Amino acid sequence: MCLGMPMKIVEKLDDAHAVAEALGARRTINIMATPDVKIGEYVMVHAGMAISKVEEKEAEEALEIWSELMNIWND
Amino acid sequence: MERTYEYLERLKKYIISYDKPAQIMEVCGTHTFQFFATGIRDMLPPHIKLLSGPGCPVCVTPTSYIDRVIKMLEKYPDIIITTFGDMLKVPGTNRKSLVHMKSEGKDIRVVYAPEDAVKIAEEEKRPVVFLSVGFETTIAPIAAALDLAEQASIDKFYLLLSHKLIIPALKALLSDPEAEIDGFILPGHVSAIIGKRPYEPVLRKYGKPGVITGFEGHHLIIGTATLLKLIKEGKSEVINAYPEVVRDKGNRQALSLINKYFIPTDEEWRGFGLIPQSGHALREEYRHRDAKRAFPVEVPESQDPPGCLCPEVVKGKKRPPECPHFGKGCTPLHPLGPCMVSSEGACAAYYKYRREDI
Amino acid sequence: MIEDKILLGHGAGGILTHKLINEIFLPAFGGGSPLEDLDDATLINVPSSALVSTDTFTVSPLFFPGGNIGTLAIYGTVNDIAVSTGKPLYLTVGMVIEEGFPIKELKRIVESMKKAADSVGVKIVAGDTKVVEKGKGDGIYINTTGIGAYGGLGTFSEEPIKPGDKVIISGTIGDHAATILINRENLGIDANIESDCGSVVNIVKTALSVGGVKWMRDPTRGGVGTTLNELIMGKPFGALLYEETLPIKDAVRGIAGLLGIDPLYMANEGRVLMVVEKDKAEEIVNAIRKLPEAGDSTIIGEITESTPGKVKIKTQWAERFVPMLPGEQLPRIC
Repeated sequence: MCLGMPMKIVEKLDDAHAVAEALGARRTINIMATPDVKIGEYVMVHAGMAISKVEEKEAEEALEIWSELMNIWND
Repeated sequence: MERTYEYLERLKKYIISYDKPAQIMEVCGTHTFQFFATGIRDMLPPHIKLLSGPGCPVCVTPTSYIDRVIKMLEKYPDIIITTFGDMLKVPGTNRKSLVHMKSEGKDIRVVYAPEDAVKIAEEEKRPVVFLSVGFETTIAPIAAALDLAEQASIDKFYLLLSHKLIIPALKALLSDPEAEIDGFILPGHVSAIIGKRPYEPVLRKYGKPGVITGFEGHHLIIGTATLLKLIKEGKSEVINAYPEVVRDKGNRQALSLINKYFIPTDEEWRGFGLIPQSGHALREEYRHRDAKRAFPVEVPESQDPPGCLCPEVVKGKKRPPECPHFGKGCTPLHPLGPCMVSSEGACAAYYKYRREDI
Repeated sequence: MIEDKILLGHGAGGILTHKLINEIFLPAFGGGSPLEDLDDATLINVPSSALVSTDTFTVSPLFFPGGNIGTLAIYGTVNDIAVSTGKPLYLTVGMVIEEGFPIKELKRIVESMKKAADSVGVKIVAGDTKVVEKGKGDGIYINTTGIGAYGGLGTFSEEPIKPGDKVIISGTIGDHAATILINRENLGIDANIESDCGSVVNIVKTALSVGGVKWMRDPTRGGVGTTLNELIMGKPFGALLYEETLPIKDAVRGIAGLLGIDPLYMANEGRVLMVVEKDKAEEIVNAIRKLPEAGDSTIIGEITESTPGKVKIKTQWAERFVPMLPGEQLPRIC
């Protein structure tokens, strides 16, 4: 259902396609769902398509929010 | 990031010292596998139970689908069937599968991406039918492939639809009075497409929390700890614990693409029966792409394999080892039902990792 | 040779067969070997304790980065003998070729087999070729049978395997399988990876010379996961692998990730998996690391008292079981 692989955009081919790379393995992927993606950015690829951009910064920010929200530190 | 490491250690401790029993449903088959593969499942205290869910598109597709494909191949020998690898070994009625058809010389090809099937249609000039099975994550690339075929006027590319939508499935699970689910580990990549909002009304209505979770070890720790905390506090919120990939509003472009070609329709699910508006039909202007229409066949009464507990497993009602055939008459090499052969199947996951507490 | 494709006649035993032998096989395998006499059987000197091993090879694609079906066939059997401490001495080669097979490709295969055999010092002493009708073969099938001198490369430790012993792999895992997968049909994946197809003779010799080696195997089909399970199954001890120590090339990780398969179960064709005495482990690793083909040798686990008969792996989070793989790993997609 959900097998996905984070890949880096290394080349944009046309409006709908780009070449992406993960640890040295390259594949042409469909970027119709992430048309604004730029070279060097990371996307989550499922069944040959980028379903979302990977934004590490968001993860870091969320961690801050949660540790407050969840108060797990103090549990 | 040391802070992350420290945080994760604390979350791990939280999980291990959690003192209430809890039944958590891992909706997505990939989560079932990842809980096993990372070893995190082994880390959970025994009173926290993981239930498998319907997030295995091959598992919830009824037997009649495979029977139809087999009948199509017999009646229209010219067709090329293109499919994801999982579908190959799924047994139809009489335990015949696409692997058997392949060994009889039928043209059945495994593809990694639906677009690869469109390429085959372009090159081969024979009709290509793609076995269009999946949840929203996969429906997006399928819609993209269809778009390509439309733009390039590749006519002989057809879809045999068996799409499954997650929200109606959750509704069906929760509306069952016998359901004993305290909370949901929600599928990370389906959520990348649909976002957080669609879950909220359903989960609120039934008072259960859900946490959108990623698939790496650290994601499972964060997701599980967050969910346990919500359960303890009696909250029925939906939290996005996978913000690096999931935007709360989902992926607008992907949803548009899906919406362009497909409309929700009532759909038959293995285990659940008919769930209203839980599948897809092609929009009227694209019905020429419907393989059911282009290659009509008579599908006789399909039979679920006798004794197969897959319908109960996908609802989290039975654990695979509770099936009398598990590991005996039903193995990945000789499966009775799809749960044992799908890469998302709970039975396949249990069998592969052979938990000692079976 | 005027014909550029193998014809049924080439296998018939007449003039065409002789042409094939004289123009393709002898130039490659001959050169002073008993084959040149073209007798029905070859006289060889077999050591008093001889090892024999046979294997048949079918691979697609026939040619891949790092090797071809021919080199696979040579090294495959050579390695089987070597990990049993045998010094490989002789090989026989049997081929079943499909009508229409390009002679140019046959030449390439045969020449690289010769090179491989020479690199190990093994003599090809008998051979046979048959041709089958088009459609009845997969291009070419090759069988090699090898004879070696038992103990010719050294001896195992007298001590039985016991908890505390270390598990060593002589290099990165999954290289061969990854190479085959991406060079096969249309997965559309491109990567800089080649098969590890090669001889393990020197690795074995070096390890045995240090001493303390209790068990060796070449982890081919089914990879390290399956091979280790084959040792541990039914035994009064278990094994524990350390996930973070597994040497895996980035490209292999990438390919495995894209296809949803586990490097632990991916085939290798030039590696040795060994179980050695605890106190000798570091010395062995350091010694074999000096060989170019074993530069990434590492200790990847140990034999344990707990979970007898089963293999476990320590991940970042917990320990879990490494099962025997139930059948072929189909690339996972969705």
